Amino acid sequence: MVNIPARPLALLAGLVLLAAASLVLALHAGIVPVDWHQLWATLTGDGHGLAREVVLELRLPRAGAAFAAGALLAVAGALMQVLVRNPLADPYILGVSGGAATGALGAMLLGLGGSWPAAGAFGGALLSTAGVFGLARRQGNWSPTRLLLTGVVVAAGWGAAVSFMLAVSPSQGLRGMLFWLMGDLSAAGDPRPALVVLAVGLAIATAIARQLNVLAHGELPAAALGVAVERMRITVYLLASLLTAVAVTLAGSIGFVGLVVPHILRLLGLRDHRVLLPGAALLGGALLTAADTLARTAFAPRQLPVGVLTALLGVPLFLYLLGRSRVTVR
Amino acid sequence: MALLATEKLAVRIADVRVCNGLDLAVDAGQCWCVLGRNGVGKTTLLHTLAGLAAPAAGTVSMEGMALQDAPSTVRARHLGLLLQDHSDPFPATVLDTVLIGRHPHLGLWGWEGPDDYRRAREALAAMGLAGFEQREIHTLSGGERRRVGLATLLTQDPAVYLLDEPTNHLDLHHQIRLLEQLGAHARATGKALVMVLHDINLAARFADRFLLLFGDGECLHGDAQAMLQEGHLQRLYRHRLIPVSVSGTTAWLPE
Repeated sequence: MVNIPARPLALLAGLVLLAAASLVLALHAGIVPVDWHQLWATLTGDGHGLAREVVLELRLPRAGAAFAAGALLAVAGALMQVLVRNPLADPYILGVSGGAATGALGAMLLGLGGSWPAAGAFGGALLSTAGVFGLARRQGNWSPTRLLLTGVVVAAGWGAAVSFMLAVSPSQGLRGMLFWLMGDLSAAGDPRPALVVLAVGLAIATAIARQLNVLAHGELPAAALGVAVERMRITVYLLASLLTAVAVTLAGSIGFVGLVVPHILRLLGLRDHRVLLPGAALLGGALLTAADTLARTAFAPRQLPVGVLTALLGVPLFLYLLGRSRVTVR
Repeated sequence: MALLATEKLAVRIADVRVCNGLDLAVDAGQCWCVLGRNGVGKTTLLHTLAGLAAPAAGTVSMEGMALQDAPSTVRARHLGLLLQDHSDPFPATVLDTVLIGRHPHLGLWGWEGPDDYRRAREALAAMGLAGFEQREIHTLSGGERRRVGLATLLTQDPAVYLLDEPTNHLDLHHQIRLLEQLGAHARATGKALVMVLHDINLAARFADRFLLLFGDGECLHGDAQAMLQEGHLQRLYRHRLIPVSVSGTTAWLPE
């Protein structure tokens, strides 16, 4: 019998509303004015003219990309934190985004446009994932500490490669590279593949969520309680890396969402991964969608990279919750 | 059939031979105590008995089923392990921590039901932690955290309790109370206890079977009369222990 306690359920319902509100706002706000009637008409299928085009062709794909990227990063962050048993872990800690950045910036440096930077990002992310996995497991012993050390060192290597490319890049290419590194949705492609990955990934993550609850207490206790720890860690590592790779390919390396969204939810009392993970998808998606709407509109017609705004929105929210919380966070 | 048995079990840690050719049968209602110096491999032996480490040779079986053939959740319903220490990097309430003991009893999509909550609350009450349900785990003292670990194990409700220094961090009152409770629980419900203890007097008072690990691969096991002898204990601890009779029971005083 499903017996979800009432409070997490109420919180999840609140997050659904928040996510919906962020999406509606993203479709409404922008340089071209679209009033609520026009928006409603467009969404129900009888809109027309410029408003319809702007909403369906421009704002909807972009809002979808923002939501997908934020949700993917937040879920990946929650998974990584359990995997390395470290609350300070984020989706990038094991070098996935470093590999992606090297691939994307490499494509830009070679003057390749179109979908090449995205392809480079995805390739680099997968390469980094496989490399860290292989190196950390080579001696058959991959404790969370060993995995963390391997990942952090590989990430530092990618960081050097990125710095090198920035240093040798002709100055007209620098702006695009910096925007990519800060995370930027203005060049995001079709969000539908990412949304599919999000749905499948979230389903898998939720299916293993109770095992993650146990694993969060340590590998030996988890093994003693019947969790197949080795298989679970491989699953979590590959899943978190894939989700991160897809997010980074879509939107560049947006910081902060993946680290902080799981903590915001824990401070609100969602600790059970069966509700924490769907909650992370909703809050991460909502936060990034709101941040991107602000990035598009605050200094319009100039657009800011969304990565600037995620921290700007997230830092005060997190500090407020931390200060309000009766829970001492170690 | 024995709740837990070993056949020609050999356990090694690097160069240390923990045991060789060990044939053990742990029956319902028994309380076993593993004794030995630091580093002779008591913990590793316990982990091997729990199915978390592979033996160098021989087999461990529960009710006739070899551990390596048992699905991990079946094993976890039968064998419960209390680790020497706990670490909690993520915030959690006491009740949620105790509830993870129900994990092996639930299906893939299963959620804890009223019966699971009842077991968790009863286990907390049995460990003297009624009213601690909503406390944050890291606000507890070392002894309270230890009792939460024991309550988690009671919630898991295995047939064999493998306890690695269960009295760690506990005050004298709670040490005695815990061992009395566990012993009574085991006898009343047909469970078995296998625990590592360092206090020979606590062991003598509560255990009825002893396994002595000498650190060179040799081990002895048997009842109190056969095992708790001056010669054995001196060899075990490399320290002389003197038996003293106090109101009808024997206490061991280190020289």
